[in-house]
Amino acid sequence: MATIDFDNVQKSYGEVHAIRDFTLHVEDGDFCVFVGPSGCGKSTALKMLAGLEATSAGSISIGGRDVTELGPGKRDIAMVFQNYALYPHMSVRSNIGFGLKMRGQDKADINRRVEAAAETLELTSYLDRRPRALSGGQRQRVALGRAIVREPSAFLMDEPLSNLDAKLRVQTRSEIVNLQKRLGVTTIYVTHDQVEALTMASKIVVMRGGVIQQIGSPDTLFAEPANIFVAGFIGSPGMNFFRGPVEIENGRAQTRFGEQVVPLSVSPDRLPRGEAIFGIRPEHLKIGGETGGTPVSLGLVESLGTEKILHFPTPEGQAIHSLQKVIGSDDAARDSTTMLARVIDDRRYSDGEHVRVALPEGKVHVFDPETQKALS
Amino acid sequence: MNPALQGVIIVVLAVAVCVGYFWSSNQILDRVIFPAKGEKAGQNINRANMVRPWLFLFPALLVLGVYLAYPVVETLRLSLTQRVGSGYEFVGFDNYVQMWNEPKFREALLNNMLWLVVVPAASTAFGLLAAQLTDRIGWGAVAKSLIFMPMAISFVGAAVIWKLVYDARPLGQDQIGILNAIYLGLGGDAPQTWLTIPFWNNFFLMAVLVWIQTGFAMVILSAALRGIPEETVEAAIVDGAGPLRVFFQIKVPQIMGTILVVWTTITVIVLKIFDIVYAMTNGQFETQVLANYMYDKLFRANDWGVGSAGAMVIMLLVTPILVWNVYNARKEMR
Repeated sequence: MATIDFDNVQKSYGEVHAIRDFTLHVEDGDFCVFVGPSGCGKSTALKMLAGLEATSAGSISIGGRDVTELGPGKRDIAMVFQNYALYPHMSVRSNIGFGLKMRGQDKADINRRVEAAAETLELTSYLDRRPRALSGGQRQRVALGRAIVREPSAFLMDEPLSNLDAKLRVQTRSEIVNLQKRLGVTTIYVTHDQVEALTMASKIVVMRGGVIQQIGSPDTLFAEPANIFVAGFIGSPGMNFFRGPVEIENGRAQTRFGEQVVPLSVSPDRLPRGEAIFGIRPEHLKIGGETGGTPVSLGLVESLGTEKILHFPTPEGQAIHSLQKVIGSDDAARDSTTMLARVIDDRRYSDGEHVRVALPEGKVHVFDPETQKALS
Repeated sequence: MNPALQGVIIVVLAVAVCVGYFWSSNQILDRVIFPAKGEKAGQNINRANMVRPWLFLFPALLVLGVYLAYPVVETLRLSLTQRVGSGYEFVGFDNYVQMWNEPKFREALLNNMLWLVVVPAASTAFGLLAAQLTDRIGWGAVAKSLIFMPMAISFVGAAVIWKLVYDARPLGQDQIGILNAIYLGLGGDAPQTWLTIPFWNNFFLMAVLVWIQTGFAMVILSAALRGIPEETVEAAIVDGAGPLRVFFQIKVPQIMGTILVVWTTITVIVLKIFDIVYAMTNGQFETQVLANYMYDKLFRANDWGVGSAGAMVIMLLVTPILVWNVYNARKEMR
């Protein structure tokens, strides 16, 4: 059990900076998720914590002990790899017990602890099998077993669910969370999947291009994204963005969305002159009604039973054409000229239908067009 | 005519004959024997396709039959006969009994056993060491090509090179043999004629083959080491394993199949070892091996019976290892 601290850690490969100014404090027992699009440096950060990659500058401590110069074996951590990394020539029992054997524990002790770990993960009947005779989910559990049997001060997990099928992934997700809660071991978990991050983490670190974008709880990240990238990355579907004028009316700031005048909760002196970028989550948009809002004609209607995703064009002149660059090419499905609304009701919507869309007060996020940072 | 020109003509002619054979035999099959028309068109196409592989295999099978299968049978026959006045007579296993009672044959058999134990083990071990040490180093590729280079030298050429290494000059002259130069440099009293020191001279001969085969082992094992999933190595490091344990407990077990294939391949080469012994000692000073013994009997003593018996013994020893080797290699490829 331990806290984990990154202090101004840097990693560069020659001229390329993979990680810049990485500073993070993880509390004892936290489930901390590093999330971001591929190539954002999250795996590199994890490998530096594991000691498999050297840091270029800065220091890392585990449990208050500076481990920056220590080898991986001496950091008292256990790691779960994306491809499980089971030793193919060893039985499940030897796989789980390998770390203990390397630490010179006596055989009876190893056996007792391996069997206890196997019991926890329901692997008892597979102990004498080779990894290749196991299914993907079972291999995953062996990899977890190898981590928990050591009783380390921290678990490091590198996309451990990405090789499982969708159903098993959801199931294993909750198993890992429960296991972590029961053991109370500080865990660093890397994923590119923001749903995994939101559902599992007690603390999320959103990364992009080697730089931390925001650190916070899932609720904080969802409700108060620090910048356009985080706002677009977290949530499914991600936030809608549009350009709008900044107007001051009777000392209160407002903008326009199509025909609608949208009052803003941000104080006028914090807003830029002229124009700003605004964001609204698909689930916050109000659809329907005879008056108010702005009329739009629906494009695609995706129905998931009761839940529906409605596509409609961004009002004339309010699309942000550089959006792809801002939120990263990862989200290729996003089209800056289309906005999405997520509704749960019994109405049937059809393509081409005319409806009114309204932005409720207090749900609109404002971003600085220059720095892309959130304004509040 | 210039021999080079002759060679070119032969090459062109041979290729033309091959193309002609494949083309015309397929034509005959498809147009004459099983034409793809008429009532039985479908059936004919299927039959033609069943026959076709054999058309392509036929030249290879013919050559293998004449130059490989037939000589084996003929050697077996010769080994059971002996020469009398006008021809041969059947003598059963007399040749084998006679051979068994010869000290030189037993010496060859024992030496072969020694070669069999030492050379594959040493070549594989050095090859594995070289593969591991040159892995992921900038100049590793240069080191690898240097170690691999002896593979390109013929056994006889290598034997000549190593004869110079073991060369001895009278005391007082410059030693051109590096082994004697070092020996005297380290305070040895007189230059040694290394290849005439019984028992140990076997190892001096084996060094030549180890020198050649290490490159082969290294190249194959190096590829196998690269194939090990990096994550298993990282997992072992996180588990607290040091470099030696990662090597012996994680890497080596994962490439065991390849190690076995390399080992058995070298074993087969060792069982047939001839050139090195022939060129360096010719089996004198208790360095005889089976292949050189066979050559002695067959072409020096002109005793075709016993010589053939020697050849059969070598074949019997090689076959099981070869079968096992092919079996393992196939398993590796899967």
